[in-house]
Amino acid sequence: MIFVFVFFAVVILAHTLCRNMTAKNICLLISSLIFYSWASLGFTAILLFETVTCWFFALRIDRSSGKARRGLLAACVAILLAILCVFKYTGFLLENVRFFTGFPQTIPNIVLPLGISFYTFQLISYVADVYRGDVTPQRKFWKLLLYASLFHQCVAGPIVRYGDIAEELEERWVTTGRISQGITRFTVGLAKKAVLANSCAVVADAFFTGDAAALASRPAAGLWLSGLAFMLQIYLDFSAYSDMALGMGLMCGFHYPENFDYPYIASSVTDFWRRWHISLSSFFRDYVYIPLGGNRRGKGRQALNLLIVWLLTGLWHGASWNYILWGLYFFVFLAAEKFILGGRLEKIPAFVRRIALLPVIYFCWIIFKFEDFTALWTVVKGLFCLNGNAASNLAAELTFKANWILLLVSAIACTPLCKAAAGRLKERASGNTAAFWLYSALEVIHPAALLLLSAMALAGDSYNPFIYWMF
Amino acid sequence: METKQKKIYRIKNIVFFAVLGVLAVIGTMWFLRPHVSEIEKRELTPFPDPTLTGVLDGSFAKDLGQWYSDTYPLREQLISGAHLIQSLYGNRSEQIIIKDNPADEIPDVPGGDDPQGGAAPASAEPSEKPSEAPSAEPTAAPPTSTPVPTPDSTPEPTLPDGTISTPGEVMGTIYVAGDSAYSLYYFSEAGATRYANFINRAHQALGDDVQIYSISIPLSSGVMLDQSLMDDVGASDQRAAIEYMNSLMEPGVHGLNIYDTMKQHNSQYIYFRTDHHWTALGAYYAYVELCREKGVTPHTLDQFEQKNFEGFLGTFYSETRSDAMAANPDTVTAYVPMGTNSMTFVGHDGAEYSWNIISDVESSGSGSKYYCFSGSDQPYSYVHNPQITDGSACVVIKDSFGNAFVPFMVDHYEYTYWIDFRYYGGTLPDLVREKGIGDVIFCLNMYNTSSEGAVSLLEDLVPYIEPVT
Repeated sequence: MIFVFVFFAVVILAHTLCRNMTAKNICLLISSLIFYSWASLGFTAILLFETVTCWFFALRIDRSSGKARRGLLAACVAILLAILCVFKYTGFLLENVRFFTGFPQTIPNIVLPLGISFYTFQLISYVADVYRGDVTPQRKFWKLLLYASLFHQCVAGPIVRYGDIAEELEERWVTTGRISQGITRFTVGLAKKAVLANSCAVVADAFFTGDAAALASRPAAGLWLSGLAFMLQIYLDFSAYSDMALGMGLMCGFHYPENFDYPYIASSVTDFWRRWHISLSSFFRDYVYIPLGGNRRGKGRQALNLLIVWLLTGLWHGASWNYILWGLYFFVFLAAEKFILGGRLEKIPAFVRRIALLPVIYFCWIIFKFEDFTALWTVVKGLFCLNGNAASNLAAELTFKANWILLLVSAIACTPLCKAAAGRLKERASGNTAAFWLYSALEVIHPAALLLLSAMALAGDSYNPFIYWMF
Repeated sequence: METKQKKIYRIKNIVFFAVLGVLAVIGTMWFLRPHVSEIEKRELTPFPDPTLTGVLDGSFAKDLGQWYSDTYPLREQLISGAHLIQSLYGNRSEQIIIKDNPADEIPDVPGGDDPQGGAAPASAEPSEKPSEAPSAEPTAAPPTSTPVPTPDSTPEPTLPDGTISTPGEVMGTIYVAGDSAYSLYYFSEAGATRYANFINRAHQALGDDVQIYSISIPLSSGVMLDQSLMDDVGASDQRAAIEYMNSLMEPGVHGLNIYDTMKQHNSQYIYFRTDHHWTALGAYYAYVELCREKGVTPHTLDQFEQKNFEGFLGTFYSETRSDAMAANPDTVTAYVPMGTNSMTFVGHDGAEYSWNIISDVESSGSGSKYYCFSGSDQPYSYVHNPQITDGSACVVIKDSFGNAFVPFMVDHYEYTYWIDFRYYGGTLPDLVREKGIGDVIFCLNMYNTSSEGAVSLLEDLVPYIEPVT
């Protein structure tokens, strides 16, 4: 609540009152640094250090050529990745070392700086793009810092490339229409998170909490229900942050790239990854897969490249073996689609492919949910009553009955139905008075209504999980 | 259309920023910020102390955010609105709110129902044994009229109307059916065993001269609902759980199983529908069982002055905000002890207060009626009954369920002490020794007697002494 009713309200007011672009940028930079410092002053220092490093190396890369240019890029990327690895993977690495050697006895508890995975990747993309000559290096450090730290998207994406907003850092226009679009996007995202995702989380946790022993006795129907709720929650939660980022960006004149495109209506795993966390998959495509040779060096090499990309994708999502398994799970399906099914998949009706994909996605989130492999295996077995657990019980039945409308609405929110209906209404509004008034009323009222709904949900909801904090 | 569209956008932007602005301005009205939540029955997050460490590591900012949303001026109204929205999520007239892990299997008790040969099968019938207890005289005494709390030099208590005194209690998983809800019980072998071991430790520490009674109060579901329904939601058999705990207790400890007694009376108003506690009538049947175990004659209900407080909407209502419950609130009935209604408690602030055992909560909020009993959840309280002069004394170690039970003890002892194990800072052996206490009565609901967390707090009452080898 403090973010929406204090921070965001003050920043948007201050940004509006700023007369020129420099003032607007300074306003955004200060507010972004306050946002970071809010989490921890130490975190801000890491952000500053990474940005200084990239600013310095990008300018040197721009003036260099040949091997020196490549060496500078490698050095800069190595520094950034080293910082990321220290904060994100030290604990995981030491745990595995201890598993095999018994040492070290104690593993340091390293707190992951807010948004480090996102801004590190943004900065890597910046120096890589400078190296390729795709963008001109930013000579003013504070502007690069503004790019790296923009509070709109630095916590949960999308991963914005410098080239996406380089011009808008210099000049951008805030129009009534853009503000209006931004307001809709922001409030839709806020409501998706506060009302739907958080409520789905309660259903997800109803049967997914506890250790392996506890999970073993959960009824299969309850586990399926929690799995469904988690599948809805993770999309609504993650895409909500992107919606809010895009919305806030529009209100300030920025156009960030879309990060989601209704992934649950995808017709294949390949299609799913064109729609899910688009900025991450395109990052790995452009900065890992293609530089490794992509599909240009034969099928064997392509398979290896895919494997590397999906191992890294899994690791990026968290420092735990289940995320690596999650990445490999997708590698298997993607490799099967590319090398085995090929064009045959296209011959199957799209509707059938969409339905067939849903179980694949369902189980990917089961893998994603449980870091403990024993618990994961217990849940997988429990879904098919292989733990000696009941098929259903009253708790599962009542939990479903008490939440079926929520789940239905959440499922609809995962599809483009609402967007399509709004588009149709807008089309009809141009030639129909009744439709015009309905459209006008809905257009005017819905952001305020969604804001109030979200305030209600946030006020009474001490349960506000933030799934993506570990990234 | 384009001009119209622009106009619509402009109005939309104004409306949005107006609503955002109003909500932001309301948030700045610090003087309107509540400190307690009537709905949730808890103190709200206090404003954090800004420390350099807190500012540097982000904990201050986190706490500030928590304070902001927790004490937002319109919070109660917003929460009501949120519950209204949640009522649209599905059919919630019957539901389960899951908060517990699944239950452990209850191990078999060797020897069946009465492994110790101690406690006889539970029965509501008063003992046929003649009364040997100090109750004989007080029963003849006329009921004491309700005195006004003694006006003395002690400061005013912080909860004169019984509003919010303690953190919210754990209710665990609840089953909601229409206008009633029930706490479900999930047996934990580790917790139950630890509780029994703790009772044994207390017995060893206090010696055989002190009688120890353990009353595990069944949660409402096991008594009021059919066991087949309990089985269907994976809830445990509370009778078997009590039997198991009692079977682990040493000979000499009086482990009471009041389950059958409660079950026998489940057509009566022995548990609230909108709250997780038992009623005073439920507590009375436990008291009758205790008297039977002690071999004394219990008083009959008609000997007590009765007070009724209508319009009680308890913790289940707070959790569910059920319209059905709101339309049919509970009534709190309290029985005023005959010997005296005056008590003293030491509050959470360490100060001593004079109070009433049954206090008047007529004007209190709808969620606060249960606070009429025994000064609510204070760390340490006591009563001196002037009608009894034999020096007898007992101590009740209790949670909030015990509040409704304590008033029935008053007419059997010259001194009745009660401590809330969650807040009492002293030790039980010291208290027993200092006050010359003969009976130690553990009166705790089954959630607490099966929870390792709760038992770990109980264990602080009887410090472990390393045996001399």
